[in-house]
Amino acid sequence: MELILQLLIEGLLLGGFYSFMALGFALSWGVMGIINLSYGTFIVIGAYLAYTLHRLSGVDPILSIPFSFLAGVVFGYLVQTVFIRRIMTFESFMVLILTFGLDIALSHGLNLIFKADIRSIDVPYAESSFFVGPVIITAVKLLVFVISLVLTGLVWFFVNRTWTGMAIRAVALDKEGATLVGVSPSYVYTVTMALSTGIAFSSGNLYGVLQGFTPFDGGLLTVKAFLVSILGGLGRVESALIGGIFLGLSETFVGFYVGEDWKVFFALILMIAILLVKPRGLMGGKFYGEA
Amino acid sequence: MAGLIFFLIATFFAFGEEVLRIGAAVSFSGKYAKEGELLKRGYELWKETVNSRGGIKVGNKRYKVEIIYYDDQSDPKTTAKLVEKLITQDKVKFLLGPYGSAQVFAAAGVVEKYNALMVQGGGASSKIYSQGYKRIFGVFNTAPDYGRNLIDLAVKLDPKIRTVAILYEKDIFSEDAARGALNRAREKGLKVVLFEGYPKGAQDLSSLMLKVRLKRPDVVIGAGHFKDSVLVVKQLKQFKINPKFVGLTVGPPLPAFVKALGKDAEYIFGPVQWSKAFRYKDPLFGSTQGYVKAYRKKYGEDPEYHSAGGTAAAMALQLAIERAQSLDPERVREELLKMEVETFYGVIGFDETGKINTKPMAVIQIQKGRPVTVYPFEEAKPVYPKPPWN
Repeated sequence: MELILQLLIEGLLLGGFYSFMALGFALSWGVMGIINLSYGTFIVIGAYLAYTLHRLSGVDPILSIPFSFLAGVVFGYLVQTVFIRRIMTFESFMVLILTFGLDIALSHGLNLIFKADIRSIDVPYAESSFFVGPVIITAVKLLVFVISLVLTGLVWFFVNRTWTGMAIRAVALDKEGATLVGVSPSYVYTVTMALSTGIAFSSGNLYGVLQGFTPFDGGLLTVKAFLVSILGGLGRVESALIGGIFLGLSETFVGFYVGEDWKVFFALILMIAILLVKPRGLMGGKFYGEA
Repeated sequence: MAGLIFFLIATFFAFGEEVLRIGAAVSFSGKYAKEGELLKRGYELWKETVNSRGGIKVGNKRYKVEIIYYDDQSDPKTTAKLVEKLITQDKVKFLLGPYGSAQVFAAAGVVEKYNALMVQGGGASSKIYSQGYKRIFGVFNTAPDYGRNLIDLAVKLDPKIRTVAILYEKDIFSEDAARGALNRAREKGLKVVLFEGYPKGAQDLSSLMLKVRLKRPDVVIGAGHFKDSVLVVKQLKQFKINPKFVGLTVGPPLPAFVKALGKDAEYIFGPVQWSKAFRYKDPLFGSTQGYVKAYRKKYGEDPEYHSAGGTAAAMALQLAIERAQSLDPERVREELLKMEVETFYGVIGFDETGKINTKPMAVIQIQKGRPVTVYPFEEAKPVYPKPPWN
């Protein structure tokens, strides 16, 4: 029983991170209808940004989250205006290939600059942990969980309570309709991509605190973002939360009872099962706009 | 007259600049960058020492040694490509090994295919020697000895241990080492409560740690490479797991281990191929102490076994070439098979598969931030049981 409780907490804490991490991916997918295969590498870039800042000036990776976010917004704006906007009106397949290429270019770029060594951000609280009853909780995971929830809350607020957020939802729901009432889809897409990349970069800080990383971690992270989006559905900010926690729990339990090797395998099986039974994900709702 | 002088000078230079090129593909980036760099240091020290004495003597010619290095980026496929390049483009007949069992394994196939010759001090998997290869020689005890030695030491300590948990990274070296520990533990009648692998490059072992915590083993053996050793210690501490004995196959002897972990590195055990506590005579450096002195002079720190293995491999090659009085790989191979020579590293001699079979292995423990040999030569008494993390 204690064990189950321990695993539940581990899974929940991990899931919190996955939720926030995948939010940007789900957002650009749900709103713009593009699958960004370079998303995972965006996260890794965030991790290297935090790492570099920490090494150069000792800034705690948690405190540099706003910086990473801004860097991500700028980067996302550039990616959107330079690359994606030019081709997203053609076949969606093109965007897939574009982001795939971008992923390779970026991860190898990182490899050129930082080499393939595993880097880690050594924060002073990295190894501390404490007991709550019989359950051991590692400080870093709890911290990352709480921050993930707060940031997810901020994104929720932006999407649901601000004018731009509502415009995003409007475009997601009905592009023509939104255009008729004076919303510019092109503007909304740029904002969405900037926000999505900002989320990716800032979740990179959290990723870097949680574990060591290399330039080539992006692929697996993209797969996980994909999983979270499918599990929860692309409907709302809350769906990423559900999907993330679902993935966290599944990874923890499978890792413990079946073996570390099987985590991703089981998650993918789970994804297929959910797609068969509930094609719109656990939370249903295909677009950000649907209430 | 002028023509004659020119001819004389030209032949003199041609004679003086006789060079033997040796190739090595070693990891300078990626997972094994650290170990690769240490290996290179071992090669370089050997090269400089040999060259300062006029080079390798083959018959009545002397060859200066030159080593061509390539960075295999810790990727065995790249190692194979680079070794092929060394042999076919750089026309190298003799190779020094890369670091890492998978890399050595990849290189071995290529060396064998082109009938070159490789002596390596970087791979300790027994699989390297079970392929029937004829031209691969290694100066490392094989991987199972790493695990075996740790258990051998652990069962000698008081209070007696009963339960063992073994965690390993899934690559050929670590799995071999883990199996060595597993088999020896069973032979000694210990209860192995956990024997589990994790994927290569894993950066979070939480579920595994929860399992270890649940089993409360007396001994935790971690088989992996440097990064894994740091990760295992960090996570044992993070999950407040306090076994009496923690032994890791690769990390502890490296200075970087203590640098990365600070106080948490204290009292952790690790097997070593070689320790500067060894006491042997040596044809090139005089003795083990002589080697240590030369190394310290060049690099400003004490050598550990990765570098020593590199030097020993290169030296075995040199001695065999000198004895064969020939640069024909086949003749050099015969000399390697016959060899049994005392060096700073231990007695070097090989069995018919190319594996060293004349040398012992030691276990060190981190005490006050320094690795000290505690078994089988006792530089200091082992501290046991290990105090809890603070």
